[in-house]
Amino acid sequence: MPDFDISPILESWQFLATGIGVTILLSILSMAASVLFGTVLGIARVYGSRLLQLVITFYVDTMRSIPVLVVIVWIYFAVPILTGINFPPFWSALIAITIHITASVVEIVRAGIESIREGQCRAALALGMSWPQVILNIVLPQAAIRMLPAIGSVLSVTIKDTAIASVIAVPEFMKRAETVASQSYQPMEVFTFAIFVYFLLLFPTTRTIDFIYRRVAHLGRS
Amino acid sequence: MTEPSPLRRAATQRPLLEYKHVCKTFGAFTALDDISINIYPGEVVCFIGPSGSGKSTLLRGTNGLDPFDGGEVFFDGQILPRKQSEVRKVRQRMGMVFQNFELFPHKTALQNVAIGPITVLNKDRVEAEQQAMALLAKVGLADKADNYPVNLSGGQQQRVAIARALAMQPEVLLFDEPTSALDPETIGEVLSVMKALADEGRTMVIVTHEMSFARRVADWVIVFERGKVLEEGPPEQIFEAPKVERTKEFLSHLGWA
Repeated sequence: MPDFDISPILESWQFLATGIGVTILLSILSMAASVLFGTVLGIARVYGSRLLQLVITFYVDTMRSIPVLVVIVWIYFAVPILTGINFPPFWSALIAITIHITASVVEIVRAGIESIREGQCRAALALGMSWPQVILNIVLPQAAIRMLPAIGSVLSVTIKDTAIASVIAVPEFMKRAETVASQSYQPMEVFTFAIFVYFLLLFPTTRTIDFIYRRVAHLGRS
Repeated sequence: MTEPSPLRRAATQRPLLEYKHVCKTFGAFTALDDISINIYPGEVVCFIGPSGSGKSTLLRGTNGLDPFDGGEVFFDGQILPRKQSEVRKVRQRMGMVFQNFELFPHKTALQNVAIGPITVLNKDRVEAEQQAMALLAKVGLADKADNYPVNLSGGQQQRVAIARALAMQPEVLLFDEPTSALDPETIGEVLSVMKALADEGRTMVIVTHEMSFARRVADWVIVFERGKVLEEGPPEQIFEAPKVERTKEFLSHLGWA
């Protein structure tokens, strides 16, 4: 058993803590954007025109077949050459992760909407509601409840995906951990610490979503 | 000679609902075959007949949820529009009660009743909820206002669904087999609510297998078979002295001599 020396972690705690901050910020922003765009596209995927449905399905299938790492490096290295637009690393990572995660959210939203019994829409239409009112008041609230577990697992994937942003030098936690590890020559301690940090970020998050779901699940059953 | 109901006897008024040569097919199956019937204001009309005879299909086409393939429906003298945006206006004047209740599970009983006036009629929330409360009291469920549907029995859910339909102050109530999904012991509570509504003089169209209810409450009974009207008349005629042999057979199957 080698000695376990945590002094490099303690010495660089501020450096690592800001990294955790960037990881959390990147996670929250990517998730918020993905849920927003995924919901809009998910609705369009179900209720939109045939053409729109086809385009969205193509996008979803494409993103399922491409690793998020490839999307990140492509947006960071290829987009500037193709378009002349240069995104800073953080923004490149945010855009790439959002594009990637949105595809998963689209499928979750679609499945959620389609799981709502047709009779629910009929009852709402019979009251005289318009389709937008039916979707907003009846379908989406129930679908959202049913979607919670799946959204929770996508959220944990998102948080983990942010670590990939280290390849384009986004100053998030994984990048910072690598820096500290290589400067101190103590990768075992630093990366073990990294495992704990990710676990402490993710475990409560997934538990919380699970807890919320168990509290509201009955409201989504029709 | 068919004896008309008192409302029909006095019917110088025009029908509230007028079906003219209504047709509907599902693939090769003819669900409705040239149906022409009238429903007058204040009447309780029961549609009876074997499963698959078209009675539910006719009811569901009335508010355009499942539009007919041919023929026309006139509601209060106006032809039922086909365009979604226009048929909405008509639906607001018709209440519908479904076999499976279809209460909104994410809303309380009170919110279920208030949601129509709030979203469709843009009514003030407080006012809509006061009205909803009164309607829940009317169906005997004031104490369940804050319950979610999951915590209500089938009979209670259906009574909330009736209150939800009433909240829009409809000119006609359409009931699509309202007691078919209920436990036998809760059927009575729903039927007595419906009887009370009938006694108020509301226009009601009821698809039902509850023959004794139809016999007791209906002003007019229409018997369907294979997408056609087999026979129509006042309940005394249909249940005591049907003029068509097939009506007799259908009723005797159900234990009516």
